[in-house]
Amino acid sequence: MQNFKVALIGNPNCGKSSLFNQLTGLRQKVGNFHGVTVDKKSGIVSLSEDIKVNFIDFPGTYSFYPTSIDERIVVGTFACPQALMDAWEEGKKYDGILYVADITQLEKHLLLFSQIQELGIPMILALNMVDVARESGLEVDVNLISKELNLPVIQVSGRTGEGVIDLKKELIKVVLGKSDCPQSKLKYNFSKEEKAITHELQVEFGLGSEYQAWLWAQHYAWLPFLTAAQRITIKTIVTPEFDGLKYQVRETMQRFKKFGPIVRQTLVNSKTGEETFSDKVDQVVTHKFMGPVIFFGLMIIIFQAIFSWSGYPMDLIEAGFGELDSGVKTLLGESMFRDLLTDGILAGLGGVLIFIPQIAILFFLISILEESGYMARAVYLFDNSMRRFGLNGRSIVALVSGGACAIPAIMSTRTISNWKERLITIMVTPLISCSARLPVYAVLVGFVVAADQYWGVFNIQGLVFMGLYLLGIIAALGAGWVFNKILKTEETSYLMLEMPVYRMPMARNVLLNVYEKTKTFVIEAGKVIFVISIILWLMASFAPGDEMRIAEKQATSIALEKELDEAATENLIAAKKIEASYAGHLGKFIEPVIRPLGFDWKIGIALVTSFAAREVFVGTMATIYSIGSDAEEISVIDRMATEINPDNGQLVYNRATSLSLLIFYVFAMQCMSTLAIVKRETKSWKWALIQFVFMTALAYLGSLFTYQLMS
Amino acid sequence: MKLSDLKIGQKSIVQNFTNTQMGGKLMTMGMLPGSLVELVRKASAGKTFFIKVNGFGMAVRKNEAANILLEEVAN
Repeated sequence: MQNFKVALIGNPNCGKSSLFNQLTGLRQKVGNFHGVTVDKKSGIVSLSEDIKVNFIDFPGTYSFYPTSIDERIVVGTFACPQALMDAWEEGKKYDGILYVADITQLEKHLLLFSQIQELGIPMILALNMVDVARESGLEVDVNLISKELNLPVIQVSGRTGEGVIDLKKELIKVVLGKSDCPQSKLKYNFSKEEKAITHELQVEFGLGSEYQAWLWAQHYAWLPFLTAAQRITIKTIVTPEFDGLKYQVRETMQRFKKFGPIVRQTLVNSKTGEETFSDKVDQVVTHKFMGPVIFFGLMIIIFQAIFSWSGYPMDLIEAGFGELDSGVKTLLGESMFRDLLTDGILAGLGGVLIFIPQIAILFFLISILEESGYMARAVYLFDNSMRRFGLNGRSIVALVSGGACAIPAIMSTRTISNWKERLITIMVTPLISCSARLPVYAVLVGFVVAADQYWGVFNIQGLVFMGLYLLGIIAALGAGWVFNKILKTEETSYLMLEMPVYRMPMARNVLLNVYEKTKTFVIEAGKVIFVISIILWLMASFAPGDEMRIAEKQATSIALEKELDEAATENLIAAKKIEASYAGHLGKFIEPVIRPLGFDWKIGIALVTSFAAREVFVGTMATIYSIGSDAEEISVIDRMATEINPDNGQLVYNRATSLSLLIFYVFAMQCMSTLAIVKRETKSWKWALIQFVFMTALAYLGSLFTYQLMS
Repeated sequence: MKLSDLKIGQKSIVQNFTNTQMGGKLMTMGMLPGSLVELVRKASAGKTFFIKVNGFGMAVRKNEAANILLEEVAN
């Protein structure tokens, strides 16, 4: 058995992912590229009985002159000499490159191709979307283009699977070295001054390829495999007058001049100048008035779908965990370990897994919008409005996804090339009300307005819900505006975005995307919540000294006095125990601070425990009010409704406190997992910390204002 | 003239870029001197342009379009 490694490379919108899915199907893994947090999809496939190929899908890239983190990966990898790559990247060097180009946009897709071809790695050119090309009357002379470009060329369709078998056969030849790797016919002719630099670099570092030396000269400041000493040496060789941009323009122009005629020679277009389907759709969808109306209409449909489709599967998951919980409880005898397992770990995991339906549905709908080409139109429509708040048109994707979960939303900001705009998007996205706030809203909204109150045809509870979501959006934009004023940058901000032709989304691509994103969420969030739920369980189960025992004794004697039944006694004990625990102490400790917001120490405990994840609030409330932690939401609401403040004999959850608490949850950064992701994406705890502080401050002030105004 | 001076529906040929950095990025996306551009429509108070470059859709900001020099178009 022989194992090979092949890189899949191509421009954005070349249909590379479809082809990758076609080749690998479910045998995909998601990891990271060496040293950076850009997703690296790979899949191992057997091409024949004794040949296995590991395909690695590189981010869509326009050229060796990258403008975003994603785009840097290709040049960052292949500017490294193959011999060095062994040592630098774990695993081994690439045995071949599968370059994917869209026939309908062949000319511009050959720029990166002609650059990569200079590096002398065995390569194969897949002309993708042959089905679409045929429909639009495009014919390619495959033999001619193969001869002109000097490499094997195969026509394929990532959508229908056409040509994939031929592609695999040709790939076997390429990786086995049976298909010779002839020189590129599109080599760049360096100018005299350029040649001087590349020559010196080649001699200094023993680089075989002149073009590789050229890439070092252009990108030495950030190329990941160079050492600090190497960078200094290169800097002295590359003179200060080195005008990277001027050279880039020269190179790009020359390359297009070289392959432009080849493309015109080999492509025959029988139908031109017709108004396409995409043009007709765009007349409506990107219309200056109709466009935004359609966008908000779509958003309403998406959120309706999330809430109406997710109910049943969420109930199933909840019931499943209930079964598991009681199963474990009966199986294991009463012990500390059992309590840790059920009340700590299982409860924490259940809190994460319950969101799978909502997140999966959101990603399902969002990937349909992305696959179809609609998202690019949304970016076009809202770029200018977003810019006023320090964001980029591309931020709209993150803000929309934030409605389900901030974690994947923050991960989607990698396409924003301007660091400041990307950072602001990351900072404000968690202010959009995510699905984890829903259970908290659902419990509290009833204390603000009754369920059966109507204002005309509108249910007032529904309006309050909408108001909370709107408040989140306003806060996000407002915070963006402020960050925009504070943060300074020299970097230019770009829009310059391709508007791809509308395409029918492919079920395989959409479903694989949903599967991967959901898996990432479960793993990323699950890891953090696992640890935090153990810590919280410890805090709630242990107390300083023997307070725990005293509390239990007290509760038992009260229960005896009041002649409570067994269940009520147990619940009372649990309530007294949590009051005595470290968590209870912490709640009481922070009570003076949260008093002005209308919160007592019991709410304080819930605020502390729900720092891990907002939805923990409901479970903690259930424990504190001694109705058993596996109680239904409705019984928590009933119990909270009768809670009396011992100081003044009034209801604790009056309108002022409840609204104040709602406002707190709209703004507060009550999510460990998001903080962890922000740290990962910004590469420092600094921004995660700033985000935590500003959101908590916003929550505190918002609640303070609300409570003082209402009471 | 500049791309930002184009009226909706007008077409012209790209001559040059006044900002090399932006030009570099546009060129990698397939807009080069000699390319045919058309202004299809505008959004958000005329600040964002929907253009076609050699028949392919692209979105650019008005200030980006101001860096793209075109052959004069007769009105």
